Amino acid sequence: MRRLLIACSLIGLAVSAAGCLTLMPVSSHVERGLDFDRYRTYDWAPADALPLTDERLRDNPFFVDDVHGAIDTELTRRGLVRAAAERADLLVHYHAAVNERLEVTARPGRLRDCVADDCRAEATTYEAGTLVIDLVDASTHRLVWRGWAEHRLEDMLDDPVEVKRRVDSGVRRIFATLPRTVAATSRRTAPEDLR
Amino acid sequence: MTPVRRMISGFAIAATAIAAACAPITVTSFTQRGVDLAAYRTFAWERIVTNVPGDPRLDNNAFFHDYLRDAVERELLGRGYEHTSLQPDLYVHYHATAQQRVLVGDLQVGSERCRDCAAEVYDEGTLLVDLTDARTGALVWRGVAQSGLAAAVNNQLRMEETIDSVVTRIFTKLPRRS
Repeated sequence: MRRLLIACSLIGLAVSAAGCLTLMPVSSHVERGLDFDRYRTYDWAPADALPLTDERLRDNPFFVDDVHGAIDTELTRRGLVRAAAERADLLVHYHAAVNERLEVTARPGRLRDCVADDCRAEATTYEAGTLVIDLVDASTHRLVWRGWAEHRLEDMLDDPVEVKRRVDSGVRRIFATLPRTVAATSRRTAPEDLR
Repeated sequence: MTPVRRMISGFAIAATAIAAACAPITVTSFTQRGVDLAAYRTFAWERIVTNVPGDPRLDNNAFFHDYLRDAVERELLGRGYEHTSLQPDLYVHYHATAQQRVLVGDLQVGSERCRDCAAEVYDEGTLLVDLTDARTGALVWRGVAQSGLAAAVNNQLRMEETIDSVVTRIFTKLPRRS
């Protein structure tokens, strides 16, 4: 039992350590049987009620332009051409959210064996941004792929150059998880990219 | 970084790290007093709200909701209930949420020493499945499951396996129709 606890602890600590790094977890869900090559054209879907849940994003025209530009670039790179909505094969939709997240920081040297105040762990909050991109089959109105990236915002919203750099990088890595085809019966999923 | 800081009292032990890596599924259920669940035979879906407070990855995520809905339906059918779109006996509804939890393991009361200490934050998902009497609108049964979430969502196959496991566990609490 003690070995199990230690093993689980190490895994947990690894997960925790990954979460503390300023890296961008990226992943996606995909429809089984997807043949992305059959899609030739796309257009932007009408925005839903609240595509940007944070007013700093809503009030930032550069952010919207950055997201649109980055997605246009990735879809074009995959051979899709923008078309009027009624002729589009795919409709694109995105959603950006900002949530306050909690993390516990502790000095590893203190984790194994400590006394009194040395045992104290400190909890801090940070802002995490999540960008979600949906591709919807225009003929069936079914979601065929959803990709997302999560990132610590820190102070980047005050720096348009940094926002664009992060958006470009995030969108590129989100689309890197989009497979060209997925077998209808496959249980294999789009690659998880936690770099 | 938000300058809010809170100190968590120490004495957090290895079990904390388990939360992120090996979080167990906990399941409970409630049956309304005086209700005979065997008297219900058919079910239909109530309109599902597809937002998932606390996790934008699952908000209106058809892959998550379709799989979850299929799993719930499979369990109900397996327990002898019949699906109908006309005048059901029961309406089925579910609600999923996510939130962060801080686990500070095995507090050793009365001792200042802590061995194998750790403190951990993890994402926990909560799924409620409700069965309501279609005629009266009264809640007759509720199943609740809580499970670690983070690793499950970022991998579609793992998410589906987690849904299967959670829903199966929830419905073991629902009596099978004879």
